[in-house]
Amino acid sequence: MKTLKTILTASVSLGFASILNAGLNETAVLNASITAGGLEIVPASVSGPWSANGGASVSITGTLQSDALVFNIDGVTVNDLDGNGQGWTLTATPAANLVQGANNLPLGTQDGFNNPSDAPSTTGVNTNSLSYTPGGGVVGYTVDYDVAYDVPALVPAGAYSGSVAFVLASL
Amino acid sequence: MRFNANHICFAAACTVLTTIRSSETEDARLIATINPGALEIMPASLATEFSPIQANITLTGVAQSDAITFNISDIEINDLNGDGLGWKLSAVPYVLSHTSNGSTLPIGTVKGFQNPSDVTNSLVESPDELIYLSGTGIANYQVDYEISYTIPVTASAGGYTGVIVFNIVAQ
Repeated sequence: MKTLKTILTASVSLGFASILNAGLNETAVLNASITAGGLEIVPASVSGPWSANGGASVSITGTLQSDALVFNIDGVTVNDLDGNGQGWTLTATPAANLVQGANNLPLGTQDGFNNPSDAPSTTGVNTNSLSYTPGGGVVGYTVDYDVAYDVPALVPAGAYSGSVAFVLASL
Repeated sequence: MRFNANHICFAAACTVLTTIRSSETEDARLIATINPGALEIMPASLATEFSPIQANITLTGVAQSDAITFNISDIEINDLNGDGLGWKLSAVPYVLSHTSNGSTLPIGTVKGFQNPSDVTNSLVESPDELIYLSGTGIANYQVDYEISYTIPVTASAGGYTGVIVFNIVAQ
């Protein structure tokens, strides 16, 4: 019986020592890295090609047709996913002319940016630039851009082309 | 050393990829088609019935050469077809016919095309043929046409009528 008791005691002692070595508090260290997304103009939203007047035709009349070719570039889409805590500015530079070889259709009225999807956070909207001030980022921000070109009195018929260059930059 | 060089190239490639993906610059492509206008003789410029410049025309018992003269002023041309070509205007005059008995007054002197509004680009090849050399197009070009008729000895008194057919073609 004595022998049995001794064995039991030793066993309990060993168990207690084991609990002491494990520690009462342990911390698991977690590491994660968030990679910045893009500050981007969604390419598909501007690539087009965009047709004037919704595709309606314009004919030569022998007199100057001011703003006869109107381009409505609707839904220019911006994503600010760079996580830098800053807003951004969007600028536009329309080509001075639509061209067909050496023939030109000059730039007319620029109505520019309009109809932003987040108007309260959009500031400094003028013809060819706007600013988005919150730095919290945004997804699927959209804005429209309108520009017109003139058709001179006498100009060769045919297809003319040009571009509007949009540039996005952090504030 | 070779290892380091590869490392540098790899870093440069990553930079380029990052720039492309950021899409901070996008171009909207603009396309417009200008349809041709007309190459035309303005109908209104020939719509009226023309009368001789002579106030009184009387039978005299002798042939009266060029006794009846028509001056068709300000025949108006628009070249708005944007084809880059000039044009040729031609005239085909017909005899004057008596409105009752069908007798005719023959064509006399044809001074034809004269006094073009754009002398520089106009070439009168013959009295009945005018060539416009410029292919840039023109609106409201004007030219006069003059023709005379002879009254034979045996002409009938009464009203006479006739036509001059004008035709324009690109060239």
